[in-house]
Amino acid sequence: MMRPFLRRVWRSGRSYYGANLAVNGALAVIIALSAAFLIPLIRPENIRGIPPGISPQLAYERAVAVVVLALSLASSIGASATAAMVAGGSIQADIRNGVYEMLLGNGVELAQIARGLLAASLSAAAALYLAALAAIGAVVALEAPAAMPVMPAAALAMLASVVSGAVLIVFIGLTKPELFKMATGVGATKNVAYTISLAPGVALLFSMLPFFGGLDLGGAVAVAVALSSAALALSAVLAVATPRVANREKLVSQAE
Amino acid sequence: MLALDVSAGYRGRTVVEVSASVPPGVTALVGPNGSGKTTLLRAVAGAIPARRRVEIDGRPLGPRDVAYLPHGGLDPNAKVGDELEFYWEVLGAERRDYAVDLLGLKELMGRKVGELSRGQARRAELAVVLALRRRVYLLDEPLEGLDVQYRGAVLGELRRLGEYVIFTTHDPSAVEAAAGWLLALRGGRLAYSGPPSGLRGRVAIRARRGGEVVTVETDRPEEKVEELRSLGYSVEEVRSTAVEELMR
Repeated sequence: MMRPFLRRVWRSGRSYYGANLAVNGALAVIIALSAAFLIPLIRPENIRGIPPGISPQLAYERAVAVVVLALSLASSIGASATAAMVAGGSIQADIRNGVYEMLLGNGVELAQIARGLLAASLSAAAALYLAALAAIGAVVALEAPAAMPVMPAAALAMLASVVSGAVLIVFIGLTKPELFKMATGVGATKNVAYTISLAPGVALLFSMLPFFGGLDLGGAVAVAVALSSAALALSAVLAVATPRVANREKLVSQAE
Repeated sequence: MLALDVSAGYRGRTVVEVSASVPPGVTALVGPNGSGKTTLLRAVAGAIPARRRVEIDGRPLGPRDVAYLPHGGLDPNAKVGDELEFYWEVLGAERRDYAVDLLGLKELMGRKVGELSRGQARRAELAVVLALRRRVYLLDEPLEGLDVQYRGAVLGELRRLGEYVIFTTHDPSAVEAAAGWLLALRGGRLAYSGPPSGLRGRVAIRARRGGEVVTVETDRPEEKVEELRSLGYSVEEVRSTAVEELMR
């Protein structure tokens, strides 16, 4: 049951949002690779306003780690937007083309559709998450190995950003499809549904900004871990709730 | 008998409220635009939330007892073959070759749905449903856009599809050709339920003599046919105008 949905979502997500996917994917890679240019610019002698009791070397290492954390989250937002577009584009198109009416009227349960779409959306999220993580990880390993200890927290935050986006877009698609602009194409960036799906990643990034100024790496990591865990737990709850609150009427009548 | 007791609508507004029984065989569901035909089929099929009781001989219908043909359902950007494969895999189609042969789809499998004519796309949509083996078939305008060849093929197959076939149409001749039972809706309520013959009060006769074609309406079709023949006309069509009335 999952496989047909996986194939369908990847195929129609690609065909409706090909250009957007390419731009978003490229953006995620550019953000990840920009770490390769930004990290060498950070030098111990360039760091100003070091808090008392912190050596210049420690301040340098924290500054690099903070940049790595921020860039990791930024690249995960790009990955999340791309993954959301794969699943969201497919849902939008299928509502408009009457696919859900055909499925629901021929005995397919809403829960089956929700599970298939969640699996497809999470597969896109997983693929793009791994790509973004690999890019950031490679840059850090090559240019700033001292920042490696922050990578587990960065990886968790990226995961939370991408997974919550993937689950949110399916949740919105099956419960409030009117939040999609029904016209597909370049206007997708103004689409409320996609904006909401990126909110957790953006919120994670902004929640850490206060810690970056004071080079409070411990605080940033603690917040990242706490918020990421909360976002992942909420995503799990949302995934379980989606089939129960999905709106059959809207999936059928929005096509008209 | 297939018993339907359905009340359905959208955004809390009731559009259709019907309680009816139909015998096995082919039933035509007719009515003017907006009379609730599509909503009734959607509700019976379970595509939209509804208060519904649908039973065959007192036993509730399961979700896999029904095949439902809506308007559309195919992605114009996808290939016909990919779309059919998707549906057949998810829905568990058992007679794919039969549907492909009946609807002449072999040559269309590799083409994009968006490149097809309306009639060709309708054939592909029909193939999704006709490949399923179900007890009840609910077909919303299955003949829409079909050319004479495939219209005849689909009409001819309706009786063989399953125990109960309910199809909507705006074409009185399709009712004459295929339906053994008629359900007519008006304003979301049942206006008629019975055999089409029960309506045949008034009849339209089309007859030809050379290049001259006449259409006459009468309450006594046999007498009028004889009269026309005695005048040298050959009778081409005798149809009930009462069915047309129900569609207006």
